[in-house]
Amino acid sequence: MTSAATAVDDKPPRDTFSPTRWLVAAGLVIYGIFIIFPFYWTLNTSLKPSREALAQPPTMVPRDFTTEAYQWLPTGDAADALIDSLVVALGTTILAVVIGAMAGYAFSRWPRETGGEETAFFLLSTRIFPPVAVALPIYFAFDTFGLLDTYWGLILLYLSFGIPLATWLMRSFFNEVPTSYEEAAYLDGYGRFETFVKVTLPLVGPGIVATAILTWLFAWNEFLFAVIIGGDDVKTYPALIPTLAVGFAVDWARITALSVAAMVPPVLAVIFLRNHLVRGMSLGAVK
Amino acid sequence: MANNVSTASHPTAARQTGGRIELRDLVKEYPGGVTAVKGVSLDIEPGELMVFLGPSGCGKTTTLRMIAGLEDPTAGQILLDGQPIQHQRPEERNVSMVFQDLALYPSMTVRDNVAFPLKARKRTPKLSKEQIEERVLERAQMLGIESFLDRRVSQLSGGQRQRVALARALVREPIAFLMDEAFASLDAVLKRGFWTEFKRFQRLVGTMMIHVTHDQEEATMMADRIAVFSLGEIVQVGTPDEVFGGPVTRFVAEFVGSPPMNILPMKVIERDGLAAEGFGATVPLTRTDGMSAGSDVGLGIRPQRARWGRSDAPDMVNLAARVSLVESVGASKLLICVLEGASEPFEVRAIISDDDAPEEGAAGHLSFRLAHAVMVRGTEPSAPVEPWLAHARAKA
Repeated sequence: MTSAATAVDDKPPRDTFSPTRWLVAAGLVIYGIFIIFPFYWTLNTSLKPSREALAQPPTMVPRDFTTEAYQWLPTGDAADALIDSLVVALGTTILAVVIGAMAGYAFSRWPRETGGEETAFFLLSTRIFPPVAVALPIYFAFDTFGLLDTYWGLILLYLSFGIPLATWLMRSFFNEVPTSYEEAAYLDGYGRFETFVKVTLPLVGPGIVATAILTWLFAWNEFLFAVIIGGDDVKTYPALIPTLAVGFAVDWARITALSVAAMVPPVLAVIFLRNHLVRGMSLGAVK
Repeated sequence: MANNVSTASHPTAARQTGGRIELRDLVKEYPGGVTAVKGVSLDIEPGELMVFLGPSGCGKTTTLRMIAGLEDPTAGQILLDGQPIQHQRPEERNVSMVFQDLALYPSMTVRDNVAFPLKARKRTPKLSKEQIEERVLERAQMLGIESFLDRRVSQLSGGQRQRVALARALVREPIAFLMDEAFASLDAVLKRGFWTEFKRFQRLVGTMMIHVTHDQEEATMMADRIAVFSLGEIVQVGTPDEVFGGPVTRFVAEFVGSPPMNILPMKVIERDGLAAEGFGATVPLTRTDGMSAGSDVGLGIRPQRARWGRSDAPDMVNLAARVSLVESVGASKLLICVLEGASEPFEVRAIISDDDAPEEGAAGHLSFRLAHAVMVRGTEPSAPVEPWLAHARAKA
């Protein structure tokens, strides 16, 4: 590699491209294509009639441009599915962040009484288990308790992962806040809870955003239990997609249109919360 | 540093009448067997600037935190004007604390930071918005920060942040002001400026302050009285002069004073009564209790009291020495000398003025007045220390 540590005279002037630079640029372009292509292709397919999706050779731009799939979206099934997804994801995220923040705070400030990092990690580690292994027992248990095909059922199940995750993340964010901030507030007459809300939480703002986004992404995209626990009443969008592919008649246009719609909330969240997210990621280094 | 503290008399700056704090046999034990504080008793007067001085781990910060209510004592009492408060929660005690990291809320403006203590929900009496505004402005003017009230804390310099932290601690009119190594994050020049400003400021406001530090120079410059801590106990309490000039234990003699006191190991011999001999000098003992020929005794003399050059005046002691290093300390010189006449080389430090300073390698004598020396009875830190001359006033 010639471009790195060479004397000043040896360096090529800025505007010429050395062979190394061409290579790196080419690599980046290929990588970029890898990343962008699935999005592009999804969008492309959603704007064609489903037949054309299978055309040989594949068409890079729709030959018979149509917004039919998008017109289907706001009707019946698709709209319901997106709403169900929203309800479940929102419910899971809010509860996980609220409970996880309080639990994470406890683990951070009272390590001796709570078991500290070890216990928090243990709670999280139970989730590394492959979900498929417990799918059947969960199905029967939920059936017994009448939780199948209910919002609460699915939310509770997602929380069984979301809460340990949020607790673990928030614990490390709270560890970054020195106790002196809280002690100063106690001396000023702020009670424990008031201090938690007015002093500590604002200081972990980016951490809350990062935790919320991670929890949301998990709940939003979850497929296995959405299908197993969900039914006709509660059908999140991942559970709807298989119904669009019956036998050999795979409705590619609708599937991809639904996917595009499903991408919108997470993408918007990350765009608007980008700054907080970056701060959150760098602040709470999970050791 | 310009005079940033307004010394104009201030309507609320009355000398305190109440607020006497008494510590009685305070003990703090942690689970796991660590005893941080082993029985501390102290009276702190209203309006006094008391400094807790000691090395790390000596219990001074733990004691301060017990006074604040952030730690519960395992045993002992804390009395405020005669009333026990050791079980009161911090929010009930009306004390203010400034922490080493200042604990200023980074995303809030200076104004909001200073006003924060006044907005606690449980506060009695509750202040109106205008009253809060007024109070904040008053304090800001006292500390010279009114020109950046609306800036974010993250945009300020170290010295500015320090003053914001002080304004915030002061805004509530507490009965005691606690500082936990609050100047530790400042650079040397800024720090010294703050010591003087702060002392003047404390006199003006009249609130009792307890300041914890490991920097003995800071303690000596700021304190009305110093409480010297070591290993969980207070070993000496007194004014800076008393602690510097009349240390009562070897630990205090060595800890207070920079460079530290020289303590020469000598042996007691019989010669016209008892005398201490070592390094070519024979020094008569006027305190003979517990001493007999063959005992060990330490002769302590501060670097600032030693001179270069032999003197035959009656109360002067001369030690044959060779200069091994000369360092510049402003307008003075620090000499590091090696004493001859001992089985092992012994280093002694002296601070002398430029004009009298010898060259490195010069051989000659260090001399000092016996009235400035102390007797150190032992090598442990708890070894008692007294002025060498039995009739002398403490003057080391």
